Amino acid sequence: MMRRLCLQLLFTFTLFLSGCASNGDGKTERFALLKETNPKPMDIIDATDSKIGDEEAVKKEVIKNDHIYDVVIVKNGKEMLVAYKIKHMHRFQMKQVEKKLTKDLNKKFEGIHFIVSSDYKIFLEAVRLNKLLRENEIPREEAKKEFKQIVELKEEKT
Amino acid sequence: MQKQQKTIEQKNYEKLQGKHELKRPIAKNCLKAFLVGGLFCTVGQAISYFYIYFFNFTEQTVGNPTSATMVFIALLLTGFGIYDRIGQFAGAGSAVPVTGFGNAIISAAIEHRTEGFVLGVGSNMFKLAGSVIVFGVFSAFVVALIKTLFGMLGG
Repeated sequence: MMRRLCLQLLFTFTLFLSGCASNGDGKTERFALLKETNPKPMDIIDATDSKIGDEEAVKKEVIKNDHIYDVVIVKNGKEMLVAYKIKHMHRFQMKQVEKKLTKDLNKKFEGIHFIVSSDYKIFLEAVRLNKLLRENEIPREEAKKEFKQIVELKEEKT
Repeated sequence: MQKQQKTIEQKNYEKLQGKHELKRPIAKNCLKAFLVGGLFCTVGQAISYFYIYFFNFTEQTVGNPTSATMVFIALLLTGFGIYDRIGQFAGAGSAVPVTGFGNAIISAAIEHRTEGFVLGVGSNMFKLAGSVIVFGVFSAFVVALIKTLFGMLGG
């Protein structure tokens, strides 16, 4: 009786979880938290792989940091979204790393507004947007809208 | 007040009782609590990743729905009588995580079900968990007050 009840519960829960599976529209970003992605930086304005310029230089600067092992960069005009993953045992210093990185980037690359985040959700969304831009699967206006939504995610507190 | 001196009989009885008393397996209990508590936390982590993947929650905001889901699961498990068995096995491992909070609410509600919905369930549901809620709300108020004061002083 109890075993049957447990199985029914498990089945209901699995059904509930699988119902949400179609919500994600990208495939690679689904494993972005488990695997290292390190995609090429993308610029919404160009919508092509960025040339050696600010984005590449920013990426090199970020990846130099000992605490960080995966970076994704999306640029939208003068705004640049820098999302990264921190090594697991370094997650205690997450806030300090973010603060220092923002300060360093602002100092080195003047005129660009950096949105720096180590949040998993922001990383996932940035990888997804980066991929859509790389494969030219998203119109520029929509990409800008998505970029804005990701930035808004960072501001959310509760 | 001065402590009363124990008689020889009392002392002897204490010795005898000490001899026959079952020793608590503290290390074993700790290990069980650690493993089961850790298992709950792993499930909680999986649920928070689920919310991050499929909904618009960030690491900052995912805590609330995860806690709510864990409490809900604990309510179901308590209702079906499974959580009691886990509690007997794991002790503090099942009481300390947020699931213990759900267990405290629903077990009190089930206990007083026969006394009616208002005077029974309604008034007794938070008998155990009420103190946790009051403590949480009050300490949050104090911390917010301190933060506001520091903010005002610091400009």
